Amino acid sequence: MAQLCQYQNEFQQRNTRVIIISFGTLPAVQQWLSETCVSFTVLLDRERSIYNAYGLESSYWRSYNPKTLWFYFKAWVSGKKINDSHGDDTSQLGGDFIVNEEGILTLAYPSHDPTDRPLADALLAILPVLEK
Amino acid sequence: MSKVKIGNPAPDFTLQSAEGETVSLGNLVKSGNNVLLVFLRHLG
Repeated sequence: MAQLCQYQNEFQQRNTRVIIISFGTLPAVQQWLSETCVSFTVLLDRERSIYNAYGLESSYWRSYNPKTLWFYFKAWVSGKKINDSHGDDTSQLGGDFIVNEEGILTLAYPSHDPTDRPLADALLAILPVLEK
Repeated sequence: MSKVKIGNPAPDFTLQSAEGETVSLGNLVKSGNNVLLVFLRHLG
């Protein structure tokens, strides 16, 4: 998310609106916004109906596989803050999707596990390719 | 297995934003933008 915040002007210059979707509660989202970047629109999907519509799965095994645990261990050792889950389902996986101005899906990247997310600069780089 | 397919219309939705606005994907794309949807895991 920090990387997305860093590149928010570049997304704007490329005519791309970044929309964050969360199944967190409103107070949790507001707290999260205050700790990250506030300029993106955050939409609330408590029932996860849109997560389901986009095929995003829940998996404890994939959420807590050795690769993920190692990632969090390294983050903890380096002093990075590990936030509380606010009681939300920690098995829910995320994903990244790009929809063009005609409403057509041009990129679908459901993450395999929590460490599997495309970098913001990679998303920016692929935008001109998707427009062709 | 993803339910969505590249090249097909993206599933439309209407959701409330953290600021209390009603936002639909249809309206976002109508304004001539690409839309990057970032689905978060939990907020931890």
